[in-house]
Amino acid sequence: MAAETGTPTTLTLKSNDDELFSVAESAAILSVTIRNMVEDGCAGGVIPLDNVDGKTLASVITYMNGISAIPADEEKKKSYRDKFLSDKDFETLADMVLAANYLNMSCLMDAVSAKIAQVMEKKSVGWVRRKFGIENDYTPEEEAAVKEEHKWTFEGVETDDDN
Amino acid sequence: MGKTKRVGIDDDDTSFLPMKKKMCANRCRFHDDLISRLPDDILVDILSFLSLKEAARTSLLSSRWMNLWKQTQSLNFDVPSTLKKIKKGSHELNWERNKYVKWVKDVLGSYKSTTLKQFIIRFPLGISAKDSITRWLEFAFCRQVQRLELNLGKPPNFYCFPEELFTPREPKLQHPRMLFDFTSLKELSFKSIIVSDRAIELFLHNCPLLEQLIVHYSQKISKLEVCGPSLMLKHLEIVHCTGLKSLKVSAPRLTTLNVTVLKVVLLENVPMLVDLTGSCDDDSISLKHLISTLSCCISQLESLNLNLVDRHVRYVQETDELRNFPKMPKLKKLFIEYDDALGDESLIRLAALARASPHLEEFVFENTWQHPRKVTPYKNAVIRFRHQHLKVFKFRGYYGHASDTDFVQYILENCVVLKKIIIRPCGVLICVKGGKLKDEQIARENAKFGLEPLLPRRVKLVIV
Repeated sequence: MAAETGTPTTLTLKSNDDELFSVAESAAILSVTIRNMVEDGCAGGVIPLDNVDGKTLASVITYMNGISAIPADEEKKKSYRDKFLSDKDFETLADMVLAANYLNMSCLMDAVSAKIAQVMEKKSVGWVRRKFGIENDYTPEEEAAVKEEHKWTFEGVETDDDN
Repeated sequence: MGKTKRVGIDDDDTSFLPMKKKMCANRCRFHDDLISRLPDDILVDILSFLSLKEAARTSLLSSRWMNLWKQTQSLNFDVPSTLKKIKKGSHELNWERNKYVKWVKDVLGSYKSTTLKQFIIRFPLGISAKDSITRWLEFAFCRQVQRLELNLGKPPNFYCFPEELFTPREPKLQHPRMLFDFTSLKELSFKSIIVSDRAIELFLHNCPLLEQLIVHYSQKISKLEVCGPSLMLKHLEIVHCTGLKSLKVSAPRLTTLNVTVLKVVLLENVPMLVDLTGSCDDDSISLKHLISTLSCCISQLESLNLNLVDRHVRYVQETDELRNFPKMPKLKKLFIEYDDALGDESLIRLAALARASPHLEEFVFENTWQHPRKVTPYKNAVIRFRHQHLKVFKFRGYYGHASDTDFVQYILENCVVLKKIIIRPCGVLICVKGGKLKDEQIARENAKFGLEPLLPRRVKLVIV
């Protein structure tokens, strides 16, 4: 064995519901927010992440560890991301996109956004409203006007609302 | 903000639930006002992953959504389904052109973002759209566009790129002085646009971040220099520019190059170039010339895609050149396209190219023929070489001539780890009524009955 190059630095992250997590610095700095704190020397003790709950943070850390273990191979990283997100329900995805935004992790942010967009793809307006619980606050007149303005968006579109 | 209710199942746990239960758990959650708790900028990000039509349709969801799509950073005016219908003749081109121009105009009129990541126009427009196109380009350059594609279908070209965009406008013109910002441009693609050498050089000069430059079908490109030690350019395509007389490339970060006519290319400083596509479809270029063109990068290439014409008269003279073909030690993928290959000479050449690439992993050979014909096999001049890495061999345009079979046999005999042969009998350029199908069928049968008996166990034959 080669001589030890020193133990990898570990950071402690604290969620907004006071859970503590240990994570290798090399994985954690995927988050630009955390990286900036490390660079500013504020990472000595515990790093508080006020906008992320423990459950989401656990998930994000799983992602950080998983993706940083993959060498620079964009295809493999992409397939890891796809697999990582494949079994997440919408609420988890929404939590995750908020966390990724707060932590400034563009790769996770893009992957989750794309996944949410995928759910909306080729679906009717009514289906999306129902699925995401969006309340239609247009008056019938307003709705007709918006529809008229966006007539082109309905051309040649077949929606598939079955699933 | 909507209230959110949490179902007490940890999301990691749901992965262990049977499918039905999982769907039920999801459904319970979806009924809460989930998406509305996301801030606007995140919703805009999400919409940017949808097509323009899909994104704009969300304006109907509720008043909050009305203007969100207008802030996405991507305007992709690509309508593949309409293009298909026009091609089939079921939609009238002029009518569709007017509709397209109006559509772009309306969308740009309501667009709210002051910056733009992507702007794509892909439609066979006509001369009446000329002024509109210039306004669209101005629109994109005002918004510091990062990725611009202007694709007007196939020639004849009518639209000439307005070089005056690079020179500040005279204030006396109607418009207030517009500020065009080219510094953010990373990817530029012009297809069927008349664009001059000067315009391209202006882009290279004014766009310090430019990584990708694609020009197809511009007859005005003639003597082009893509040179500069600080160029960020990684991908360059100068394709079907019939007036091209010389192309000098010196770009230290270039990795991919695609040019139609290799003989006019002068490569200088391209230490990163690994992927090259080109053709020698002009008879006057000899292999010797090709080798000297590529001499500065041939040992670093990982992927080579060559379009060759068959020059059966000269093969004897060429044999020596072929014997001395320089090694391509890093080449993993070789794609050879032949126009109307005639048996033996092609086989000699192909074998020589394969021999020069000892680490080849994938070999694709495409033979475009117009009429199936008989050839006399002549195999003596072929140099044999044991390939230790080639796993996949694809043969497009297979018919079953003796030469075709000889070539496959050559591959089988010399490639000891080959796993898969993929045969696609579709090299027909022009087909007489019904002729194509019949030829294809014969080719398929030839492949099945002619090749299967030759295969060792480890090799799988796929006929597509």
